[in-house]
Amino acid sequence: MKRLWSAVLLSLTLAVSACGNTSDSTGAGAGGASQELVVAFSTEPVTLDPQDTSDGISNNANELLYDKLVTLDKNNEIVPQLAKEWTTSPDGKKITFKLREDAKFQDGTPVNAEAVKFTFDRVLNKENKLARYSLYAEFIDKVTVDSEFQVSFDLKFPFGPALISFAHTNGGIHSPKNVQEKGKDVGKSPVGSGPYKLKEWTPGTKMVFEANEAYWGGAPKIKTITFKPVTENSARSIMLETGEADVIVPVVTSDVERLKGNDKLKVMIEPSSRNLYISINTAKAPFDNVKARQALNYAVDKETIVNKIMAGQAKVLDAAFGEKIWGHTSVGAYPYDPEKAKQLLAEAGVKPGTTIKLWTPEGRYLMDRQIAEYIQGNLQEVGLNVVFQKWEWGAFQEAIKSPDAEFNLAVNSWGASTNDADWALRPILKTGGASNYAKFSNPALDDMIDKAMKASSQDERKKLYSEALALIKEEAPWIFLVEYKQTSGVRNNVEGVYSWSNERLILRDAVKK
Amino acid sequence: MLSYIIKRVLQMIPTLIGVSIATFILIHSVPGDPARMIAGNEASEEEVALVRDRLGLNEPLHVQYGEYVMGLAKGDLGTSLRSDRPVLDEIVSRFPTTILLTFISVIIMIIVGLLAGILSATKPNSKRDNATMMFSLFGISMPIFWLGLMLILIFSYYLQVLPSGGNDSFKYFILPAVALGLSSSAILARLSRSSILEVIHQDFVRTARAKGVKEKWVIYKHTLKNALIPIITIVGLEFGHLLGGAVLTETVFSMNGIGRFIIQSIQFRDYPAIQGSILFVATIFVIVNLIVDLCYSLVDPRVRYD
Repeated sequence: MKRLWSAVLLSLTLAVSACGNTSDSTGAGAGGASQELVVAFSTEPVTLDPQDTSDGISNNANELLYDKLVTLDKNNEIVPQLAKEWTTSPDGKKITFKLREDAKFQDGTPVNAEAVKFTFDRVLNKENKLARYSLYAEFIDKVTVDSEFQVSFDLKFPFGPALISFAHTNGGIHSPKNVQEKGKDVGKSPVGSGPYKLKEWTPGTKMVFEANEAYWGGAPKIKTITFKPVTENSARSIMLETGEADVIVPVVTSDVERLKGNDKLKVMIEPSSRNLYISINTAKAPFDNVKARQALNYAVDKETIVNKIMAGQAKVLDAAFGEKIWGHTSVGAYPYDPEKAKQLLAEAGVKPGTTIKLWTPEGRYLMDRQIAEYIQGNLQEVGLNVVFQKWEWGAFQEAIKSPDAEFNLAVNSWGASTNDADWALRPILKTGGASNYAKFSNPALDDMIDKAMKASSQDERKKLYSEALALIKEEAPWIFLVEYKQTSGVRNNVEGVYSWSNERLILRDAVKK
Repeated sequence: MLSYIIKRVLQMIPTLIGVSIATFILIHSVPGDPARMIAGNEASEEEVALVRDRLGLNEPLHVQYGEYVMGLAKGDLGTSLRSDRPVLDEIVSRFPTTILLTFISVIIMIIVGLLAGILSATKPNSKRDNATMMFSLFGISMPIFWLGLMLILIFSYYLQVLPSGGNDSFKYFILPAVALGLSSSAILARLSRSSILEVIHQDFVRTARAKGVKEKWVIYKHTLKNALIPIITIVGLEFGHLLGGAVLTETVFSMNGIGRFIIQSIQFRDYPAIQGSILFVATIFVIVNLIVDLCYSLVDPRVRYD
């Protein structure tokens, strides 16, 4: 028996060590791999059709495959991409783009005005049922080919955020030939004019992109980029530490300090346009009373949330949206003042011991449940009896959208993907907005949001948004919490990786030494 | 024997129909809207409606079920709402990972579990027995994801001899299979111990010893063979269990298998994918059960299927 045991143990040891010797992808600094970049995300892309994409990881992939008319630079400023210049008519209702003439799609066909028109006509046609239909149908009336390399957009009204909408990843330009050939499968076999093309997609395992050597902007430095879905947060961190991954997104809050202590890698903490707030159900007593809503804001200790729960990787919101969004003006955060909160609650006629319901999703946003639990404590300190309920994401989304939803408070987050104030307010605070969970309705605010959307002067828009932010603070439809930061982990030998504040990870300029 | 097999295969049909109906009802009664999940958090009601229409989710439930069953009859498990790929393709591409993981785990389970059971049963209530049983109690109570993370910490992080996640080649299967195999072997160890102990005190074993048969043969030939029926049952059950239940392991080790696919499909309310993969796992489970039943007659001639 003893001999049998030792034989089993010996063979196991041998198997383990043999595998160790042949291991090629483990161990830091696996040599000769500078041509390949491995990026681990929490999940995998869903589709590679930019106009049908609604998730961040698909958008990260689309940024490699497709070019747009205009794009953003490292500082989130709008810069030319396929369009070399553009003009807006004096009435703000027509935008004309002059295209660069040397760009080609990965299938060799030219990028021209026809292709731009084809791409936008496709999304604007409701019959095609594409997920980003309303992003463009809202403001574009029609697209006209002026000449081979000039295209113009007639708008339904002067739309302030028009240009930023073209810079959105959803504005990637398709090769018309490919769309005609592939039909609805274009999301699986994409052809754009970007610096990388899709080489291989094994669903659930990996997505591999290879360099487009003929890219008009010059051949990319890294030859292949591989996306891997790694759901487990700590597994992602370990992959970065062992060198199995070159870049990981996101780095979970609890791992940041440990990773920072590793001299083989760096943790990038970049600003984000995503905020976290608590929708106050303004349609239900007692929070149909503005004083009761303001009281909640005084009752919550935002600084402690930032410093302790978020370990400093967030910032207290000083307006309804964060400073990285165009149109932001600081209107100041409510200070933490439990006494004032109690006084306001009393003035609003809310008796101590009143029961309120607090809902939160779990694991959807960084530290969402933990923050909600802390706030439960804050609110109990000012005399409210808080019934806490955490939800699975799918069920939460459905429950919270129900017209007779029973919550008083619900944890929400919004990342305005256009980086513009319009998208940071209209869907979530305008009367009847698709994600207006607070059921907030204020005609003066609706009016400002409308006017700012249709104003062609940026100065006028900015002024309107600053007034709107002040009004929102006063009306307190939310408990204003924090603006997040984006965390990504990168091996030291990788450079040129950065994020836009709308949570897009930009890899096209990456270099590996 | 053949008629028995045919009968059992025919019996599978109502079982699987039952599974499909139960799954269909369950997933549709869980709150959550696939169209909203797919359209994304930023989508307007109009966009969600467009997606819902495209996915065919506006049809009444009985029509959706009817279409699903019609598809099944033609061998079509439907199309994934999330990826827009045929569900069967999604399952088939992930099945090799799961089946390989299961096989290696079962082998580890049998080697470790059976040996531990024999070690314990041959010297009951000795130090060896106590130590082995304590170890197996540890194995049963240890959460599998914790064991997985510990293995990653030791072998991937500190020793850097094995990869922490993925399923690219054989070496990626070692750690997850060890994690799964060890925890199942704990159950097998306890079961085989009691099963062997029951047999070891029977008359034929005493007779064998009295005849002067070597102890080794008494254990392996006489005792073990007669103790095998419950052991085969638990191996069969574990095999089925591992096939569908390697969810946590596949998540911890980032393996692209059926378990993780089911979880991901549930999160996205991807109805056809959930239905298809559960039906698939159920089919395998039923087949494994049949094989287990047939094995009984191989190890024990008293069991006959006529």
